[in-house]
Amino acid sequence: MANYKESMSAFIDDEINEIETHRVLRLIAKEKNDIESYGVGTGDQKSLITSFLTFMSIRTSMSQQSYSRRISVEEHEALFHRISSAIEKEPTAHVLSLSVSSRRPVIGFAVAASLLLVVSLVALNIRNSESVEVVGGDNVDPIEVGSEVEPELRDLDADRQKYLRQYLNEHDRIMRTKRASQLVTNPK
Amino acid sequence: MRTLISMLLWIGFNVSNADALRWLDDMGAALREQNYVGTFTYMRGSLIETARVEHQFLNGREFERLTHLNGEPRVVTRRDNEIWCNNLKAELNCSNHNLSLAPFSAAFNKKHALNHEQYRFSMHGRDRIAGRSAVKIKITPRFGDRFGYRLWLDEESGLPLQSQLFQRNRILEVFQFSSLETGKQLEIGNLGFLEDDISSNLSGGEPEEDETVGNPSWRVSWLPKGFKPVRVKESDRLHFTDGLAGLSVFVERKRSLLPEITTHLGATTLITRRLSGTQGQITVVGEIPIDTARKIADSVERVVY
Repeated sequence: MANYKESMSAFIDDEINEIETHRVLRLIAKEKNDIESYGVGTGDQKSLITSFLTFMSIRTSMSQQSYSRRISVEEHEALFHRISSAIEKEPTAHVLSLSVSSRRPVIGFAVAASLLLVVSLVALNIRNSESVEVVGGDNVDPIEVGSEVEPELRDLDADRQKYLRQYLNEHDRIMRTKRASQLVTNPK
Repeated sequence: MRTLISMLLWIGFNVSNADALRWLDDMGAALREQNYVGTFTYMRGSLIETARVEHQFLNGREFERLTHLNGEPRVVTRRDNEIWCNNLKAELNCSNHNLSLAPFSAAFNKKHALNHEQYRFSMHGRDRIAGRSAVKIKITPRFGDRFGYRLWLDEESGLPLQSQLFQRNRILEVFQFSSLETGKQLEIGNLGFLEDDISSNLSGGEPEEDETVGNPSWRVSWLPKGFKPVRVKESDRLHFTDGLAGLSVFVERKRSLLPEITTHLGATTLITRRLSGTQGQITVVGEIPIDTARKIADSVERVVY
């Protein structure tokens, strides 16, 4: 479950590859199918849609520009359901004549398509009309000048910050000093 | 007709690619061999640093002084591969992750970067930065496993006047000179390189001549294509570079203080993971996307000799 949540978090952050994207969408579609067919989700997947909506809301809040309107969890959910319903209500004669079990793949496809549409709409809302986004330049994390502690590390206590800084400094030092030479040609 | 258009496009692409590589080649030499003084701003994540840089190339050696103009007064001095950082106010060594406010890329390795199949190089016209004429170059990764760069190089000296490090269309780091003077001969003594001063006031540098290389105790079974290992003396550290980006893997066998963390400081990703079956920890630090860092952390394994 933790892996799925991690994948979903990465998905929302645009850090996921294509295969994982399809896996996450398939899982969400399956959950929605289960809820529709049996009234409840199965096992650990019960909260996937909730997690998706929560992550989406967090991502939207964090990336929101001052002039654009925020979308709440409820609004994400309402949008998700409206699009799902609209797709399912499309008059398709051969689907109506099929049994519940044989309709599942079609519903799954419809849900996956609606999710893609939701993601696209939200992504458009997040990125607004600019073609280039500067990370760290929004209202949530104000730019700090000459600060001694990186905001990303502030939640850690002093010992842990010191520990991580040693790694960061060593990485910087090695990369800078070894840039012109010292490549190992035959790695062991 | 279609063949002719394809041929013209192909020729145009290769000319642009060759020009970009020639400019990058010049930049590599300029970064080391030009004498320059300037002030630049460096934005990483939510932090902005401004610093004055004085760089002198003398008798085949590089001398550089970087004076931080924001926050705690810190001075970073460098002689070739030796670096010292001094906090002038607290009389302490610098502790923050800002030792290398290197223009463009701290890991830039001319020879390695220019023979790279993982990036596309292209020219994008001219621009004006810090009152100087610049050519624009874009370095685009072929796959999503690393970041890209936009560079504005000084037409006169080849030095980078501005750089942006980006992932898709998101800019993660920005470097820009606001003023730059080139070709000026500097007094080495004024940069703080008198031998007595170095030995009494500064610390932190490790002469490379003393380094002995040990066998690594760990290895990574997966790396993005084009990354090569960098020689270091510690067996529980692994460092790699593709000529533009760098990444480091630190392995702690002892019980670790740190929780599992996934974060990034500008373009520098930092991930910690438990070492499988132990209380130790793996930390991956590098100018790479989070997804790439995750895969590397998951692939760390012990070497059995």
